Amino acid sequence: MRTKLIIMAVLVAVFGLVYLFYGLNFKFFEFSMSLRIPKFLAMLLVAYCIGAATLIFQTIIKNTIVTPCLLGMNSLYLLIHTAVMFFLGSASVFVLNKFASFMLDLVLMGSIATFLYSYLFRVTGHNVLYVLLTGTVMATLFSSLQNSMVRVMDPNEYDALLSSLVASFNNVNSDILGFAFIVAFVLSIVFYKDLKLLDAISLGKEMAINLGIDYDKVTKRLLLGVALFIAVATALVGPISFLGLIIANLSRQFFNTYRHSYLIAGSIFFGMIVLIVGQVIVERVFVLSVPISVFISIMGGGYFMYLLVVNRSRI
Amino acid sequence: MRSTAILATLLLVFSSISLFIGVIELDITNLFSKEGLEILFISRFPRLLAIILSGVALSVAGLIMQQLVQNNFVSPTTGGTISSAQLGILIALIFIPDSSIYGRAIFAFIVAMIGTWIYVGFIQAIKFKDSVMVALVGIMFGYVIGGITSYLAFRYGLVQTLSTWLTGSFSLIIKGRYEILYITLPLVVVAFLFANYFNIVGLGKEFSKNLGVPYSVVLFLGMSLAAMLTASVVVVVGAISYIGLIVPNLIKMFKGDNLKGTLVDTALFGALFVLVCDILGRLIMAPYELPIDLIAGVLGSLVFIALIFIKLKKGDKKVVAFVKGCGGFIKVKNEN
Repeated sequence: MRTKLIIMAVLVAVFGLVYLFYGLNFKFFEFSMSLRIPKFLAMLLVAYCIGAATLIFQTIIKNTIVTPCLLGMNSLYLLIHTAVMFFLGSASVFVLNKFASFMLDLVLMGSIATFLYSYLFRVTGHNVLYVLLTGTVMATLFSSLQNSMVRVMDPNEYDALLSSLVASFNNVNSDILGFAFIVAFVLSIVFYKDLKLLDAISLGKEMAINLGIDYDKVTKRLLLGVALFIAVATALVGPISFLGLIIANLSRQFFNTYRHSYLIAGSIFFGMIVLIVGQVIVERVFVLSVPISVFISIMGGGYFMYLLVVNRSRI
Repeated sequence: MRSTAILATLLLVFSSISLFIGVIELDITNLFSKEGLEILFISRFPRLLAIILSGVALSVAGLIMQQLVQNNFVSPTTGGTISSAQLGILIALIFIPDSSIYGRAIFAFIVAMIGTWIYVGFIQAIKFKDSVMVALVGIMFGYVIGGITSYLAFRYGLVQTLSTWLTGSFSLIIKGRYEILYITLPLVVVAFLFANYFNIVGLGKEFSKNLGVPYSVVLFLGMSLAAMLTASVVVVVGAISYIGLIVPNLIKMFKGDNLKGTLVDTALFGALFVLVCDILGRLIMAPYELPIDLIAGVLGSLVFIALIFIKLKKGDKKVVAFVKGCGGFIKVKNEN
């Protein structure tokens, strides 16, 4: 398994180099790099956040065909972000200062999502299907609310908001890139201890409790971590719905193990490969005419259907 | 019958309210002037008719779909029908750029039907144990079709045009732009005539064979009917989510599963729901208006979440008790 990981790391490096240096005109070396490196770093970070978050999430809810985005975490983030602008106005420090705005988004996202989803899990008696269905409906609710706010909003404030809502890799929020790296790093350290418990948690609630794990507390903490990681990724590049589904399942198929250290690493590496290759295709073949999220939602949706057919005996 | 009468009265009341809401003041004094009549017949009446017809069409479509596959979570939104209809419109725009609304409608009909058939075939092939899964698959299926739609839109530079069909709104409805919705009336009548067949098919393949009902033909017909109803709304108004899901479920809670008994009520309540949402959308930030899709999205998803919780507690009885309790509460309040 270690060799598999090494192979993947090498692949990431190769694709990364291709992305960075392909068709480079050395006359404009510095200029090109100043464009490509932030994008590249953003891709790595997004793959890291979404890959880890989705895999952890799937283990917590014991279902491998879902992503946190199906629960409306993306649209919740967009709603929070819009609401901050809507209620505080574009002149407030939380809008003008990108770091403050980012931190406020993160705090709100973390607390609301944890509260909301742990409540959902409790009410439904950990019935995942109902949690999911409620979540998808909530996604509509959030985006309808957000859309309504956008329509009521002062056009000037909307302008200021728009640039941060429809980010993509071509328009990376590079001001917060470094900051996002720090946040992701701190989060990783904080949640590292809980991650080690994931192997035990995947055995099921009773088994985990027998093994001496405070199940409810750990899952709640992990859920908080998932929400925060999703928030970081969304803040950087905007919502990418199906990425997590693709990479987490690829990793599960490829490694075919229950050891989460390998699964998470695999998921992250797959995320990097998918994003880099996708971005190369978008830039070179389609000359930026189609955003990468569209590709990912078509591929991801198709892959989901495939997973359903393959797993149909277990559904 | 009493519920039908109540719903019809409410619909009438709200319809007359709706006629008097708008940027240009219209009241009894200037109603019969030349200008007043013009506004009434060019803008207000068409809008009202469009609202009622789309409410009827979407909720009846949802009811038929739910009855045919015996699953209360299926609807035009959660069955990929709306997104297929949007794809159809987009294809029409790409291949026949100067197509009339009728040309677009035909494309929307065809693609919506194909999409719905694929979805039904898919869920029948997999035979999910849990009814919720059926809805989730439908939502995912809608995402995939939506992805294809936005790919084509980006490719052919039609993203802005597309956004019209992504958010349903009645604000552009005037005389001459909604008449295609009349097609829903004969379709609803057909649905009513076939109601008993749909009931039987809903009971399963074996059952309907025993009763001599051609299962596949009726299923095929019913789904096509639902798809056409949906597509005609999407062509004129745009997407309105959740009506087809929530309205039939609410009516079923009170009136049971027999399609013939619920069809008229569902149609009336659907029209009422859309009408109320539209009035709200026009009043909240008058003189501007919020699109119906947003209001229906907020209201509809809240109602739907409530429905899920009720189903979780296995208590249709509880709903009745709750409603009665509210009634009692109101009475007590009045006496005070």
